[in-house]
Amino acid sequence: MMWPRAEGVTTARALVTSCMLAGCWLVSAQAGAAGPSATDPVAIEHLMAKPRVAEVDLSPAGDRIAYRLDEEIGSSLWLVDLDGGAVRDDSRRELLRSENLESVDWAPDGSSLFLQTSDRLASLDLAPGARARWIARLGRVDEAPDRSGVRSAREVRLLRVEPDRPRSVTLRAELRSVDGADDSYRLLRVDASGHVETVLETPIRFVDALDAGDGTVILHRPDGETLEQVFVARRSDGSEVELVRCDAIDPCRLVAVVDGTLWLRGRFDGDLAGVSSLRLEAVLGDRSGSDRARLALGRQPVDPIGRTDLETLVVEPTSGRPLLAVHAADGHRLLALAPGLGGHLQHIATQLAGGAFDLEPRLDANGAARGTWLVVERGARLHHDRHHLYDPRTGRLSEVLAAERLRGAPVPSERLARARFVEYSASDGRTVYGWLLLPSAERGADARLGVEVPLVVTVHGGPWSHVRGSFSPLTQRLAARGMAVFAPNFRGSTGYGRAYVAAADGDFGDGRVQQDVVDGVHRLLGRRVEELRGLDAVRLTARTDDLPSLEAPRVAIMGHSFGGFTTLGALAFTPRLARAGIASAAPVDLVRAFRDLEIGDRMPSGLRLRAVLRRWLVDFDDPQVAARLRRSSPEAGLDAVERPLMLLAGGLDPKVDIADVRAYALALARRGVDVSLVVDEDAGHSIEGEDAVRLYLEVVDRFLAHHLGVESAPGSDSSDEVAGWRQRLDEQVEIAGASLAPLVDREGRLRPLAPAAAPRPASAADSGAR
Amino acid sequence: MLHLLRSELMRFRTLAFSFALGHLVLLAVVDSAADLLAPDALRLALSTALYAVLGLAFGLVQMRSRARSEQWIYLLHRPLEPRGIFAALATAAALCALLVIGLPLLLMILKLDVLGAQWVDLRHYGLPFFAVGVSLAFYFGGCFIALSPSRAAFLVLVLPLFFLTRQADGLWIYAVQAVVLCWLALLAASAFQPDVSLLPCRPAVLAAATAPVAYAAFWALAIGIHLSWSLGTIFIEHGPRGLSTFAWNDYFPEGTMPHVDYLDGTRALMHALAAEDTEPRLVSLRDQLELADVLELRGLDLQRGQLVHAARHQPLFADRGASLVDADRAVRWSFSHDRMLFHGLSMRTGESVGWLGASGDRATSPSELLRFASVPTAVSPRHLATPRRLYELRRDGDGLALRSELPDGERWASALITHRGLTLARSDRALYLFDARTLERERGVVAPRARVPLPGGTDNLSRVDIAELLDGHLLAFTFGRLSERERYPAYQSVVEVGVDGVVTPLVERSLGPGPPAWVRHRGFLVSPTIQQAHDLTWSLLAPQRPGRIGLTDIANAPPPRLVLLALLAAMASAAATAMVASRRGLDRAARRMWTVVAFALGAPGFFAFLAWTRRRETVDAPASRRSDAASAPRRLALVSWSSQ
Repeated sequence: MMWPRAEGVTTARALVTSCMLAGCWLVSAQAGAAGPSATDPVAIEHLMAKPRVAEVDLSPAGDRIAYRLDEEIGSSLWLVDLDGGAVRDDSRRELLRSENLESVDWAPDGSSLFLQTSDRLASLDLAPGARARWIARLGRVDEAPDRSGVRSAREVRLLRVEPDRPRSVTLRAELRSVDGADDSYRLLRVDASGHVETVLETPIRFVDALDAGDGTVILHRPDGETLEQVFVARRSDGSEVELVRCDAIDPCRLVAVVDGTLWLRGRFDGDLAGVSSLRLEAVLGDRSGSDRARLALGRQPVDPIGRTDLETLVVEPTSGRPLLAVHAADGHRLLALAPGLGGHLQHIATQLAGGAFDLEPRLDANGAARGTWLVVERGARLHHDRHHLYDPRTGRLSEVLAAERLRGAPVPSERLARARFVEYSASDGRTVYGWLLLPSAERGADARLGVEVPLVVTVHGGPWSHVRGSFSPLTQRLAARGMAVFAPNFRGSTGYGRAYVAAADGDFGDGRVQQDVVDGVHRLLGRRVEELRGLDAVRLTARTDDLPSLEAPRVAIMGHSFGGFTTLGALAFTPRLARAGIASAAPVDLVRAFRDLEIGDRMPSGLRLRAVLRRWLVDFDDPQVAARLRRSSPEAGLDAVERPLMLLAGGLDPKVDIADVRAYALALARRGVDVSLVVDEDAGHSIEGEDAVRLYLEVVDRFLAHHLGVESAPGSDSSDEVAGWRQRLDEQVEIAGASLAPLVDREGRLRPLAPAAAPRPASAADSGAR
Repeated sequence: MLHLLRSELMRFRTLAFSFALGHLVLLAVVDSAADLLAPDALRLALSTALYAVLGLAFGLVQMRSRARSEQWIYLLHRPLEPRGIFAALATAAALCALLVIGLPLLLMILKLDVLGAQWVDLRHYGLPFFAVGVSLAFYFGGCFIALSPSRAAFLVLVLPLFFLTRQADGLWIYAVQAVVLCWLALLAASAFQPDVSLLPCRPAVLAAATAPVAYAAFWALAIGIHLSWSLGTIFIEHGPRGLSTFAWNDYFPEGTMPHVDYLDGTRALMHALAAEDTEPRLVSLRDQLELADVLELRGLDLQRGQLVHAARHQPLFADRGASLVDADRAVRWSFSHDRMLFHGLSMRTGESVGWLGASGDRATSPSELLRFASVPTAVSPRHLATPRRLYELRRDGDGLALRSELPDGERWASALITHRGLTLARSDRALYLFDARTLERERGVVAPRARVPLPGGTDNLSRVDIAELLDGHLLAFTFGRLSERERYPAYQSVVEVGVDGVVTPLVERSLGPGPPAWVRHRGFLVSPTIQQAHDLTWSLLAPQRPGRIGLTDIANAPPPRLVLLALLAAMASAAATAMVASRRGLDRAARRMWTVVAFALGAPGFFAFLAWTRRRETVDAPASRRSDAASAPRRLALVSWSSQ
C-alpha cells in the first residue's frame, strides 16, 4: 500500500516507480533502454527507453552547465561553458564516468560539484586534473560494537547545499543506541574537501535544520503529543523559541534564511500550501518565550486560481531566496515570486507554444537577471525532457543537447497522448479532479468512451498522493493501443489543499472515496471522444444524457497499493462498472494492513505513521470504525466478485501480507472466478527494477487489450529480452486464470510478442507537436 | 584362531548390529535431507570424525577389557602365538567395522544406484572402503594406546592426519591410507605381547613408534615457541592485563605481513597507500577510504577454483563443489565423473531431469552430449568454471550458457563473488571485473569491464581488497602467503581501475616478515630434518594444495645463523639424550642409537627417547605400582607359555 513515505522504509525511487505503476503520470521513465526493435514506435521497450540526457545542472552564476549522460554502464558527467545563451563547444570536457552517480549539485561558488550516489556523497573540484572524492556516507550505517559490546546505528541524510557558504552541504545524522536511551541527532556541515563540522547535537529529534547564523539554528521537529510539526529557533545559548506549527499532513518544509528572514513552505494559514516568510530578528530579540500569536508570517501569493497546493519551489542558488512556485496538480503552472520574472515566464511560454516547462533563473543581489537561464521542457507528450538555454537579455531560447537527447531514441511527441485535466462533480455535489488521456489515433466522430473506445481507470496509491499530467509509459502505451485512460484524484488525494485531503473522512472501501471513482467513470461513459479532444480541460458536471444502456461497458479498472484496494472494491461492490481489474500490491483488508504497520515507521515529518494515520486517515483502533471498514473491505465483498481479475504481489511486501493475497485469490478461484495470481517472491511493495516494470507493463497491456476487445498485436518476437520476461512471468504465475489464456500457449508458456523492427527515432520535427 | 574369531564376533554381535542399524538410519536421514554422495566440508569432517571415534573407542574397549589380569591370562592361555591371537581379534574388529560402517554405506549407495534416479559413479563405491579404513586405522591406534606402557603412545594418532590428503589425486588416497593402516597395525601387533609392560625394542618397531611421537613433539614445540613469543611480547609491552584485553593482532609492527593479514579491508588499503605520504593522489584516496565500501577477498573465495583445477580428477568421493542448484525449478545438477557430464535430479520428486554437456546442451540421454574435458567447479550456485570457461545455468533450466572465456594458458582460480553491482572472478593471472547487472541480464558471452593482471604469483596471493570509488575501484593485492620463511616476498600492490576498465598502477609497498627469524623458522629450529621431511611429504602427497612448497624451495636452507642455531639445538638434544640414556642404564648400542636419533631429529628425538625408554629395573629397585600390578600376572602367562 502506498502510504505516505515512512523514513528509512521507502526510497524515493520506489515511490516514483510505485506511482508510475499506480497510474501516476509523474514518471519520467525509470527503466533502461531496451534494444528498441518493434515496428510500433509506442512499443513498451521504446516507452521504457531511458533518456540519454539524465540531468542538466546550471551553475549558480549561469555561466556553465554540468550534464550527465546515460551510458551503457553508469553515466558520464560533462561540463561546458555558456556564452550569451549558447554553449561554447570548445570548452566541453568530460569530468568523470561513474556507474553509481545519481544526482549532481553545484557548490554556490561554482568551484566544485557535489555528487550523490545511493549511499554516499562525493565532491569534485572543477580545477583541471582534480578527481572526485567521497566526503560523506549517506543512509544507514551500522557501527561496530564498542568496548561494552553495544552496537549503535547511524543514519545520515543530505539536507541541502548551503546557499550562503561557498561550498558546503548540511547533513542530518541520527545516532541510535540499542535501547534508545542515548539517541542523539546532529546537524553536520561537510565542505568539499571532506572536513566535517558538528553544528548542533541534540537529544530531541529533528528532521531538518537551517543554520541561521550567529549560532542560531532553525529546527523542524515532530511533536508526538499534538501530532503537529513545529518549527523552533534554537539560540547559541541553548534556549529555544517556537516559531510556528503546522498539521501532520501538511507539506511544511524549511526553505532558507535570507537576510534575517526565514522562508518556509507549507500550509501555515489557509487551506492551500504556499510560501511564507518570517523576520527572525523580531523573534530572537525577544527572550520572553513562545508567544506565537505575535509572529506575523509574511505570506506570498498562493495559487491564483485557488485550487492547488504549491508543488515545488525554485530558489536562487547563492542566497536561497524563493524565485518560482510550481503548481502541478491541475497542470504545470509557474508562479513568479520575484519581481521581473513574470515577463520572462510569459516570453518563454510563448516560445514553447504553451507547453509545460521548468525554469532555473539567475538573479543578482539586486534582482536583476544575470548569466544564462535553463529551461526544462516536459509534459505528458514529451518522452524525454528537452533542455533549452534562455538568454534573459535577448529573450532568445535555444535547445541544448538536442543531439544527445535524440540518441536516447525518444518516442515522437505526435505519437503520444495529451493529458487533460478533468474536473467533475461527484454524486454528493463536491468537485473532484482527475486526468484523462484519449487514444492517440482518430476514432471517428461518434466514438464514445466505454462503448467504441475502451476506458481504463487507473487509481493511484496512497491515498495521500496525486496524479500529475506528466509522462507515463503505462498510460501512453494504453492510449497508443486505442484505450482512453482516466486517473481520478479522488477526495483524500493530496495537491488540492487540506480540506480536500480531509474530505475522505476515512470512508474507504465501499464508501465515499470509491464512489468518487465510480462517479468519475459515470461522468465519462458515453462521452464522444472527438468532443473531448477539442477541450483543454474537461469539466463534467452531469452524466451524459445519451448514455446508452450499458450492461457491460468497455471499462477496466486497475491500481497499485491503495489503488489496488480500490480496484478490488470496485469489482466487489460495483460489479457492473468494469469488465476486468488488475490489482497489484493490494491489501484486501485495510484494517489489517494498518495494524501490520511497523511501530517505528515514521512520516517524513518525523511523526509516527500509525499515529498520524489514526488521526488524519481513519482510527483503525476504534472497534466501531474497524468493524465498518471491515464490512466495506474487498474481503467482505469477495462473494460478489464475478469479473476477471489479475492480482500481482511481492513475496517480501512489508505492507501487504502475501498470505492475505494468496488466500483471497484462492477463495475467488474456488468460486470459479477467473482470477490469476502472479507473485514475484523477491519483490517488496513497489514494482522496482527494469525487468519487473517491463513484465508488469507487458502483462497489463495484454490483459487489458484482451478484456476490452482491443486488437491484439500480431506476429512473434523471439528476442532474448522478450524471452527473458516471458520466462520470468512463467516462473511467477501461481494461479493461471482463464484470462491468462490468450497470453499462454498450449505448453503453458507465454505467447510471443509482436514482430520486431527498428523504430523511427524522434527528430527535430517532433518538437512542434505537444 | 577361528574359534577365537568367532567368539570375539559373538561377544560384540549385539553392539555391532545395533550400531549398524543406527548408522543405516542416520544415513537414511541424511539422504532424505541432502545429497549423500556430495557431502560438504563440514559433513565430511563430522562423518570422518564419527568413524574415527568409533574405531578408537572399539580398540580401547576391546584391548582394555582383555588386558585385565585374569582376562589376559585366559586370552593368552591358548595354543596360539600372540600374533595369531591379535590377528583373530583384529579380524573380528575389521569384520565389525565392515558391518557397522561399510555395509550401511554400501547399502545406501546401492539403493541410490539401483532404486533411485541419481547417477552414482564408480568412485562412490570407494566410500565404504575409505570409511572402514579410517575406522580401522583409529582402531589400531586405540589398541596400541591400550597396550603400550608409555603414556606418549596416544601421539601415534598424528599418523591418520595424513588422511587429510583428500586432495590426493585419484587412487593416491588409498595408498596413503594403506601405508598408515599398516604402520598402526604393526605398532598394535608389536604391543600385543605377553608382557605388555615391555617397551618396543626391535629396531623396526621402535622406528615406527618413534616417528609419530617425534612428529607430534615437533608440532607441539613449534606451536609452543610461537605462542610463547606472542604471549611474552604482549606481556612485556602491555603487562599482565594485556593478555586478557589486548587485541592479539596488534602486536605485529606496522609494515609487516602478519599485521596486514589481520587488518580489515579498509585498513589494509590504507596501509598500502601509506607507502608514500607525499603523493597528493594517494593521500586523497587514503582520506576517502573511511567512507568507501570495501570488499575483502581471501581464503576459499580466492582459492576455490585453484583447488580443483590443479587436480586432474576430483577426489574419489568428496565432491568439492561440482554441483549446481537451479532453485527456481528445484533441480540439482551433479557432476558425474564416469560420464564427465552433469546429471540433473529434481529435488521435489527425486526424478532424473536429464544431462548437461560441455556444449551447454541438455538431453535426456548422455550419449548425445559432448563430455567435459576436465572436472568443472561450481563457482556459485548457478555458475561453473572449467579451467578456461565460465558457464551459467540458463534461466530456462535448459542448458548451460557460456558467459566468459579466458585466453589460452589461463585458468579460473576463484569463486564468483558479486558485490554492489560488481562480479569478480580470479584466474591464475588476473582478476576479472564484470558488471553484475550485465551478467544477470544478458545471455551470451559477457566481456569483463576490466582485466587486472595479478602483480605477483598466485600461490603467494594472500588477499585482495577492493574499495569502491565514485569513478572506479581501488584494488590492493597483498602477497605474502608463503613469505613467513622468506621463500617468497611479501608486499602490497595498489592499482586503480576506472569505469572504462583502464588499470593504473599506483603504489607498491614491501612488507616485513613480522616476528623475529627464530620464531618464523621455529620448525627448522626445532628439527630441520622433520621440517624438511614434512614439506617434502605434503608437496608429494598434495601437489595441488594452494601454497604448497616446491622441491627447489625445500632445498633452500634458512639463514646460516639459524642453521647454526639448529645445529646447536640438535647437539644439545643429542647430549641430553646421551646423558639421560646413561642414567637410565641403557646399553652402549642403545645409547649410541638414541644419541644419533636425537641429533638427527633434534628436540623431538629427545622426547621420543624419553617416551620409549625407561630406567632399567633391577631386582633391588622397588617396582612402580603400575608395572607391579600389570606385570605379575603377565609373568605367569609367560611361565605357562613356556611350559607348553
